[in-house]
Amino acid sequence: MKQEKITKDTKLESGYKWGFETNIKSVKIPKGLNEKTIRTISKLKEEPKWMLDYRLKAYRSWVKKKQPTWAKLRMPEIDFQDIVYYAAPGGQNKPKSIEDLDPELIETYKKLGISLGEMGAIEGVAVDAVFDSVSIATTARTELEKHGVIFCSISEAIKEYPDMIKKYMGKVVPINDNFYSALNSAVFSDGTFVYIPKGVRCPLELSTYFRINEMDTGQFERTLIVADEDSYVSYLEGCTAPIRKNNQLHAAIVEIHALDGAEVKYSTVQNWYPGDEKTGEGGIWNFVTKRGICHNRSKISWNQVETGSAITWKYPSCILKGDDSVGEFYSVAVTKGWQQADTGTKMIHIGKRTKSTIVSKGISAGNGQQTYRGGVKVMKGADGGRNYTQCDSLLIGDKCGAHTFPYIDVRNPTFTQEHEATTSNVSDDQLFYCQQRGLSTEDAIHLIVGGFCNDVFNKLPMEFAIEANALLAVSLEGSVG
Amino acid sequence: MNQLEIETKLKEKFSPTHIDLVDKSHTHTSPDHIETMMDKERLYDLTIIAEAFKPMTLLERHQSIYKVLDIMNNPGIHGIKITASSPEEWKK
Repeated sequence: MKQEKITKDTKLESGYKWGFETNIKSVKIPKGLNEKTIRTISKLKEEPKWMLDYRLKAYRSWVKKKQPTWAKLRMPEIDFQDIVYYAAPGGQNKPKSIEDLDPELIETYKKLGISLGEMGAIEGVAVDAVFDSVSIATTARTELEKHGVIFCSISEAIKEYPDMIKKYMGKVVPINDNFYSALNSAVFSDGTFVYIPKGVRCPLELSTYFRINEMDTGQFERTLIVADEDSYVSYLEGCTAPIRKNNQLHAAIVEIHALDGAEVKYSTVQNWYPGDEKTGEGGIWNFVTKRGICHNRSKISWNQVETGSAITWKYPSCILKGDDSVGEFYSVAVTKGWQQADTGTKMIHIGKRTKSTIVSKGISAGNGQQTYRGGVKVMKGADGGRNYTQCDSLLIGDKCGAHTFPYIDVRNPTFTQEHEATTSNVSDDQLFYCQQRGLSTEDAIHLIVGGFCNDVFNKLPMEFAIEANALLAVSLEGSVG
Repeated sequence: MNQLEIETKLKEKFSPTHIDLVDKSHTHTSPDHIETMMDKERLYDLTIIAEAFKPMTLLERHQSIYKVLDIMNNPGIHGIKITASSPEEWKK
């Protein structure tokens, strides 16, 4: 009998179809980071003095910090002086209307499947498009304004709603929280601001699409979401970048304030360029600090599908400060080729009867290395609270790795803590069973992995779930175990 | 498709030197239920030896049998356990 051809090293060509480049004039500042760089960014953005002071304070804090080394990541030291910290297409901060946008940019977003016209409102999604360092367009604003919803770039918000920015920015993720948050606070160039007024259920899904285009630039964006009492918003985030041989840095901050009775659903499909699958050359280094604070009876749900980036360092967290507040984290992370991910979440229970759920699914293929790092911290006052954690790892092939580091610190005897973890692989038997019925190897893997991820995909908004499923299929092309 | 039809289809396609198709439906349901099942949802144990299998991988053998019987659209078959060998392998 011939030997079966289902080998553990089989690799097919799989393409990163978002890796194209947009030829557009861009205004860049010189490489390097010092106080002058920060003053230049602030000046280019025509910011008020208090914002410059905020940035400088962050820079001075960053200078004193060292790049963290505790994550299970193998990477060279980043040369922060070899990065361009500001690049704006066409040199403009933000065109006045979508009609004034360079057609190249509209075409770029069209290729990425994002409509920058008013069609967005009809399709039920409002988009803020961030290209390199600036937000180039925010759609459906008129429709949202009718409901009192503020959805704009953070640069505009700094000018138009300074009181709100002063009140909320840096309050969940302080300037000196960590190395990358200090860096972002110093050099952030743009991002999104969302405010949902009291009692308003946001009529559209809000979303930001991040695109890195320029070579040698880093992207440092900031998202601030404030959901006032008893409001609801679903926010989506997507990201892609061109194929490049060098690594590019992305260090972002997302802060969420869910006031009493509010609910925020934050979904991410992270699809940055993961680097060359065979050599590991290039790819985005993705260092993100995401955190939300829940007041009484409020809820924050982080839903994420992470398929891109050469390196991912990301721990979306919830501070459950208010009584009866709820935090959720549903995540699927894929590492293949030479990708590395050290990701997870932190749930900090402070209020009474606070509840949190963590469902993390990690898929490793090729030479991918994946680490789940989750923290559950329960303070003395968290009476009657509960956490359920489930972290499952799926291995495809024999060269990849899955590692789990759960940190559990319970200081209240009435708290209920459950933790489940599994590690499994896609076995030859499972593949054989699917293939004998006529499925191709790829379809068989997709079916098995799709089933593995279903708990998380069910939590994503419908369109995102479909996209995530398709993305997963593309990501796992050629990874047979 | 009943047991006889299944055997005929396999013989036509593979010209086996030996074929043994055993109805094992009683192992997955109650005797009363078997009476009402008639030719539906049967569970079979198939042993088939044919020269045609010689150049095929195990997966290809199973796929070719599944294809001939169109199992996904065949209400007569609930499940089938397949042992498919070439005469040479069977001797071993």
